Amino acid sequence: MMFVARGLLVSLAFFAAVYCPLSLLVLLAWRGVKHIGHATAGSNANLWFGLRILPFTVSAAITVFFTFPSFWLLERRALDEDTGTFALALCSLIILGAGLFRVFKLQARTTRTVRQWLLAPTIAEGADSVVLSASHGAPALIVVGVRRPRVMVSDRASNVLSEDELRVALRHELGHVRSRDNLKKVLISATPFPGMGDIERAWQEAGELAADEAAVGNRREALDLASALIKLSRYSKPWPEPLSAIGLVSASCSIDSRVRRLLQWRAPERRGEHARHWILLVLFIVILVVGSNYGATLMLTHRLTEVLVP
Amino acid sequence: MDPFLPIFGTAPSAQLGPLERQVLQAVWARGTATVREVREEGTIWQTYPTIMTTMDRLFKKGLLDRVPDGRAFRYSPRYTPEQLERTAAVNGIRQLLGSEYASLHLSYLVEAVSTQDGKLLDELQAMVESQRAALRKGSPE
Repeated sequence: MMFVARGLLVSLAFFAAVYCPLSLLVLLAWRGVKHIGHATAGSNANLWFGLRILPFTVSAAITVFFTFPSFWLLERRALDEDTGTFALALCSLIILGAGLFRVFKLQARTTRTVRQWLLAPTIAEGADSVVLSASHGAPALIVVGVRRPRVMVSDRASNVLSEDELRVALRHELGHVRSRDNLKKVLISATPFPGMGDIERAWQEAGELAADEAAVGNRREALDLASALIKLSRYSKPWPEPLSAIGLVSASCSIDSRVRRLLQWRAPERRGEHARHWILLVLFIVILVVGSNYGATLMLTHRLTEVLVP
Repeated sequence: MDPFLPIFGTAPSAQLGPLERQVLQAVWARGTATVREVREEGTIWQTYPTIMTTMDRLFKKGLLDRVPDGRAFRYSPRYTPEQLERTAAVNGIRQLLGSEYASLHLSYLVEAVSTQDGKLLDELQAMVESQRAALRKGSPE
């Protein structure tokens, strides 16, 4: 039992010892890559999100799959941990605790706010669409929910927009649903690190542009979406952010730049799909190589743990 | 050096503590005040030494002036609330536009202004309508 507790302690310390320097490296890398242009807003959004959660994903994966097993198999059964290990483990607990607290706060705030926006007091179970009340401060269109995200439309959106504009606006929101942006928002909240705000803002901005791109298939639809954005931003009121929800008219991206981008709409090249296939292939090869040399990797991780954790 | 700059570099509420703001409000309300007077006013439920430390801190931050008054000090505000807000806002905007993300911040500012000012939206709407008209006339997609 004590050995398991010691293993957890060392694993937590290792997590902090990897997570913090890796986050700093990401912040340095961000300075270098933030001005690099990409084929589509979607690939930008994926890149910024990947960069943002990379430190947590890598640290957590190494800790769970290598650090704890290597400790379990290779560490001698003694109780001789340094105070530095306790300090690092405490640091990890603070990071993880802060992440959990942020997520719970975000969810509670979202639930409270959406409840205020509803025309009816509760959401009917199994209902596909929910009508929000603009007079209660609801945004025109919004995607709410993490596990089962759903698009909510306010009475104002259906009154102000034409049928074509509403259709393309809904497709914009469905773009957020498909790319699981609310889940990504929650994951970002769960992995705090100071100084990451710029990457988060860049991801949110690219996410809005990506949803615009996904909604539009021709020039007519681009103009319909531009018109919808203009009409709705005339009536939009600022709504409390950050919520685990994403609205059509969002503070994360300027309406002016979005409309001008839509006015210059051109059929996109499909280069992002190739990039995704390459990333998956590299990931598969890495997993295959590491998996076939798991014993050696554990030895290496164990040595690394002894270096990083005092 | 501008005394507001280190204090209101980002936003007043972010840089002044709640008690500091309360004390500053109390001094503004009275014109001049000693620590005892601020405490006796009854709006701030803190001990004498806490209020004294807070007023001393506001003096050191350059937000209050003070002159000896018997065995204590009499404090007066160095700036009016309007002066403070104006300088904080100007400094904040200057700082935003002077950063490496100036264009991004500017676009947010434009968006914030556009909600107040429909002119920009009218302009954009006219551009959309003109392209729609061109499309209806049979321009290529």
